[in-house]
Amino acid sequence: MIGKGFAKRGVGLMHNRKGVSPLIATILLISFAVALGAVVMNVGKTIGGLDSPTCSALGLEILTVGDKQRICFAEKGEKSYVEFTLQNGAKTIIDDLHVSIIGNDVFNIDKVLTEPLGIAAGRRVRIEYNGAVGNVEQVIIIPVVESDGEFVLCDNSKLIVENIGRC
Amino acid sequence: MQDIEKEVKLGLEANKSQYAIEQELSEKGFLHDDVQKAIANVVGKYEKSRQTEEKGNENKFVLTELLDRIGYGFGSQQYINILFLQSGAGLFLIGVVNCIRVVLSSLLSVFVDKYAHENTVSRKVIGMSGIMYGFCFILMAIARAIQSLPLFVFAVVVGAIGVVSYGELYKRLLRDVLKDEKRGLLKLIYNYGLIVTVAVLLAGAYLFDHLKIVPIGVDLFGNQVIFSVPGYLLVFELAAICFIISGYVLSFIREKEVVKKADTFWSKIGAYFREVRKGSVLVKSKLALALVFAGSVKGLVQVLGSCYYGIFIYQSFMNQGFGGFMNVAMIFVLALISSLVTPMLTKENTKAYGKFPMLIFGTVLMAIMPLTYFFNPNLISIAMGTILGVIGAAIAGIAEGFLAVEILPPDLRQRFFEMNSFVTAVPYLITMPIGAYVGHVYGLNVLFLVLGITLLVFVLPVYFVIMVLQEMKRI
Repeated sequence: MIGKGFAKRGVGLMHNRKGVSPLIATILLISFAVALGAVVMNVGKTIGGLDSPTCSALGLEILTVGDKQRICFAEKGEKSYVEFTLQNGAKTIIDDLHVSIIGNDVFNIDKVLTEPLGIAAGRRVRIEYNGAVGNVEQVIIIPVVESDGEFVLCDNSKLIVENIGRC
Repeated sequence: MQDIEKEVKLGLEANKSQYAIEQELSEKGFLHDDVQKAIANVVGKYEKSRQTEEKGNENKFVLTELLDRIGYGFGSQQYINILFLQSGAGLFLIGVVNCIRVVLSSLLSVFVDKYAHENTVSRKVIGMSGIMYGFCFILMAIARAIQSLPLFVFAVVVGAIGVVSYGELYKRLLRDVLKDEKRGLLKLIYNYGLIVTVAVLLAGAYLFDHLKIVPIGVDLFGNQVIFSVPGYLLVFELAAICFIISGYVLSFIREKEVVKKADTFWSKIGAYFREVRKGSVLVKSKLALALVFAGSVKGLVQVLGSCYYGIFIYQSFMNQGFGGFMNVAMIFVLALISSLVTPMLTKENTKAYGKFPMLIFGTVLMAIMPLTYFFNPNLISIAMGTILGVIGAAIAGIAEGFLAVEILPPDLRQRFFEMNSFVTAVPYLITMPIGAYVGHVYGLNVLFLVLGITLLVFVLPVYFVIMVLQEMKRI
């Protein structure tokens, strides 16, 4: 009697073809998707990526609309200013800028940005300078990035802009 | 003999069988042999002319299909969005205009499909829709050249009307004129047409990047005048030419004169709104409402994302990889190719794992795409994220279709499939501008983060709850 019971259960087990429940299948598939996502989020990070910002990985530029660069200056004596729209690249946060405004005189300024310029972010920047510069002939914008706790001027990635129109 | 042949032709046009015609003419007193000879001649000519007509129609459809694929390649939506940005549009305006385009397309496609089903639409009208769509590309190129935002917006909106009318009416014309078994060459285009689209996408990107200004010299009254033609004008001209010729070719399709009901256009508008009101039964059923809600949010993420992915890649990787437009083309070519493979895989896996697990899996894969743009924006990871996102969208779409058939009651099922695109698109009028505002103010990377989180927080739990409730019902 007992043997028959075991035999029946054994046969029953061999014919029991219940698959994985939908809940378990869902959890397995979600785990697989999360693993795929983790791989994708980490691929390419070491190729001049976010962990090691260097000056060579910058993509800073003055925004161009149509064929015109968005930069201009206004000569108003002591309240003269240069205004430009910057577009950052997709690799590195830019912590600050060093700007030189060149005309009859040279005006240099550090600590231009009130907060860092994020990745792929744009920002309009206005810099006031003294009237001694006069007609602006050239503007040099040097990005500053933080590397290993120090602020580094990325001279190789500087932007030099000439033929600047009036605002 | 000619009299007999004339009688035979009349009999065939009245859809009488050959036997009936033979009987009729014999009773009229014609010789049996003469009648048989006449029938053989006419049927032979009729058959030959019918075969020639069908072959001619098939060739025209093949040419149309080829030209359309070339046109869609040169006039890709990603290129349009980037050019819109270059015309001076802000990210918010780009989002709003794309919202109008998508909602208009959804509303119009339901209406045009119903209208064409019940009314005769002249092939000339179909051709004109294609020509109108083609001219919109010329308008867009001019708008970009003169930096005119209103003209660009006008071109995009009219283009949306044109492309939907053209697409829906073309499908109906093809169904009415060419039987499935006669589409030998056309099936080849369907199977391998993707190669054409891929090649054209890449060619278009190359022209955008490398032909920034093309000097064209013209002799005017003995003087050499040089016009500078921008590269984008050439590309969009090519797209326009393809659609215009395609529309023109369609107007020569020979079709049978099938007279459908001749309702007026305005009575059709009334019938359309009555149909739309019937769709409100979807929101009365909790299950259907949950599916519609989840579908709407999923659709929003896809549509909003697709407005800006191309722009992000173009701006961020301008001086990296293949550069400019070519980066965008390469990423979206990968997406196109992966979309081919997915339907086959999904059907098999849905049988193995079940519809709900595949739907949830597809949704999670979809979330990976925007999250990659935020967390790890480099070309390689974006390419991988895009492939996963496209595969996920296809899996989720197919599984949702199967699921709707399984869990919705029969009376709701038809309404769901008819009205789903309409009901999911209407909320976009509010949600898309909000998303566009977020992108404009906080940056595209923040928008992509929001899109990814939206899928995981709003869509995934809904599917999970429906799945658990269905399982409990089954137990």
